[in-house]
Amino acid sequence: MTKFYTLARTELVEAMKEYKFIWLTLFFVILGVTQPLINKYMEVILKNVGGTNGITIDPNRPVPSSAEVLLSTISGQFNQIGLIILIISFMGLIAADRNSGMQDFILTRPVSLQSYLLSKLASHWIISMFSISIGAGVSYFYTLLLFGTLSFSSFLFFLILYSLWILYVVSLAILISTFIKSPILIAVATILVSMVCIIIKGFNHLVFQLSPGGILNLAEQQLLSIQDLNYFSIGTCFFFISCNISLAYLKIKNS
Amino acid sequence: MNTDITALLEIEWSTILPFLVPVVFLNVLLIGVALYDWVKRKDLIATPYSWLMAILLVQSLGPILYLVIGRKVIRNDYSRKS
Repeated sequence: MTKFYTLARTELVEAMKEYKFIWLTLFFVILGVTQPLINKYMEVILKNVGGTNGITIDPNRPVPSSAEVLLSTISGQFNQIGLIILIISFMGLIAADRNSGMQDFILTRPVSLQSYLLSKLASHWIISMFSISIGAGVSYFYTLLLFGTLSFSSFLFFLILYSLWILYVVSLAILISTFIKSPILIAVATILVSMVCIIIKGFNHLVFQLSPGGILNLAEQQLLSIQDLNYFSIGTCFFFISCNISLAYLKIKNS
Repeated sequence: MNTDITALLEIEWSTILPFLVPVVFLNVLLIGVALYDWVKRKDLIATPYSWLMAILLVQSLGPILYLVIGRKVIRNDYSRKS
């Protein structure tokens, strides 16, 4: 346990030295602020920036509820460009160690492979969730300011479920980086697989419920306050995370 | 790219200001972090001036790409001027 703590702490210190906490947080805050503002001031922007010949906005259109705006922020910004930047930020989490020889150095010490992998998972999840929580919090605050109330408890519950999705993405990056050596290719493969998990929603509902993307659906339903939810997705998500980690464990052990 | 400057003069600044201020402020902060790091590592990284252009000109993605990739691409010994 102390080894796990030490390894995780070194990762966090390294992220501090690279200013990762600062810029990742700033990026997610920018994403979180932009979407509600665009939703609110769309008419003003179109009127002022010009190029609106032939574009008319229906003056009688319904004003979107605050839950819908927050959802569009999450699914439209955080899950697309946000996810891409997030994966790029931790694409070297194992590849950099392996290419610099640090992995051999650590694993020839009396450190178990489990604590090494789990420390990677935990530390990068903490970094990501720190940034995403602040970004989503600012977005929530702006949405309250511009669109009216939304219960804080449902937002908090949404954030907890969303963090499971981020945990899955980090474990996926760990698994893929045991197969591929180049960090750029790891990023591309991870982005592709997680995008497929998001897109599969439109094809087949049962497959989507059983895929890791089901947790996202559950998280989004928290905001829309739908009754009789199916919490089965939490179990499947944990199952996929442990699958990823144990596969990576076997792959490194046999190599 | 729209190069017509006259459109800027017709904007009602008072209506668009609440939209503009937070976004511009956060972007300037991000550029500031990247520039601070760039100034400290100017003599170490490969192609420092192209990274400077990327930081200053590419909207919000430039600083991030510099901080992820640019600061790790170190100049090798052969290209360094003695």
